[in-house]
Amino acid sequence: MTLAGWRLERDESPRDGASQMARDAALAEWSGAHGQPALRLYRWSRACVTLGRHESARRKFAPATLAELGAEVVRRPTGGRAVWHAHDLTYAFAAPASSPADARAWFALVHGVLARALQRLGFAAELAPAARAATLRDGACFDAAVGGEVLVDGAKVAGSAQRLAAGVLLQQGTVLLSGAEDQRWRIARARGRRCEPYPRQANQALGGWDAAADAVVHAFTALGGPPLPLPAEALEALAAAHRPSYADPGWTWQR
Amino acid sequence: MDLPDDLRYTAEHAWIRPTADAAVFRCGITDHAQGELGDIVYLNFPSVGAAVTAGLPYGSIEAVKTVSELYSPLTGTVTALNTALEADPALVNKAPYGDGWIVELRAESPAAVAALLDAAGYRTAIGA
Repeated sequence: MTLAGWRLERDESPRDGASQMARDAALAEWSGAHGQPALRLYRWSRACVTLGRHESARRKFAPATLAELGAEVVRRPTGGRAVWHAHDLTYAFAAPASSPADARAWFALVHGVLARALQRLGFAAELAPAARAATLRDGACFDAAVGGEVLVDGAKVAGSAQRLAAGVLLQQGTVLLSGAEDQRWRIARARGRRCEPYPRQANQALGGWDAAADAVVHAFTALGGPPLPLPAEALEALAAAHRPSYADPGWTWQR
Repeated sequence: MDLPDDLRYTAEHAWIRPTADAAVFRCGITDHAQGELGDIVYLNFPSVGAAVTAGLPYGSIEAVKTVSELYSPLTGTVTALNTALEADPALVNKAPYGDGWIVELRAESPAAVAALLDAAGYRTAIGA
């Protein structure tokens, strides 16, 4: 695994959920076509719940409640469980990958970089020990860490999910900058048909988006050298083709 | 790694086994593939009657938060699904060549099976 020649889009423009999912899909498409690793760092124009590709959302969440709380809902192309995005640094990473072993290697590499970025900001970040994967039936992403995800104070602060298709890995993840998911998430889940105890969350804020993005870019650069920019127009064109699918409630609430 | 000699394989980690109907084959993923994927939590099936094409995705499988595509070993039509996987997707981990089978396909050209890999060929393909 090498980050040599990696590309970066540090997206300062807040976008809605469907646009972010479309741009992440475009990132994977671009990476596959050019055989180069690529990273996007971004933020949200409003609170957004992203559902895992195969997650049973209709059983776990009430659309009306999420709408009432002002949250957009989209379904990711990657696996895992739901995440409430608000005050977080979200990323997408894409790279050539031909096997689950490649995907695991990228997972470890990216989380190692995120941990070093948080350490640079002064936090005692560490990687979670190996743990059995949670089912998709209950809970949300930040309820539990799988092996290799990033912890601060023993609580998960960065988690990721992946899609491996057509020789390209797409990894989507987020760093909770507030140390905890939005309080509205607790309300949304409490009003759902199923609710579990509120997860343990980090008790300290991890800083602002700009400082966190700087630290992540610095940690990637330490490993792969200075990044080249992603061609914004090409990415925009690819994303435009993907956006209608991610904006379609039929896709979001398919399960 | 379990690799039965009586099955045919693809480099995309699918196996197929003949059924009582000479044109219908039971398919799944190999023991090697399930071991690489890890704990499987969900499978996304095609519908019975769906057309599939050899070498192209026909569904997806999720393990440890990673979604991967399932590639069809044959061109043809889906005739049966292993619905037991809806309740217990881990059957693919526990018995990849038995209760963890995924679909049955009616091959457009049953003779195409002869072109697939035998156990030794698959072993070479994965570098085992």
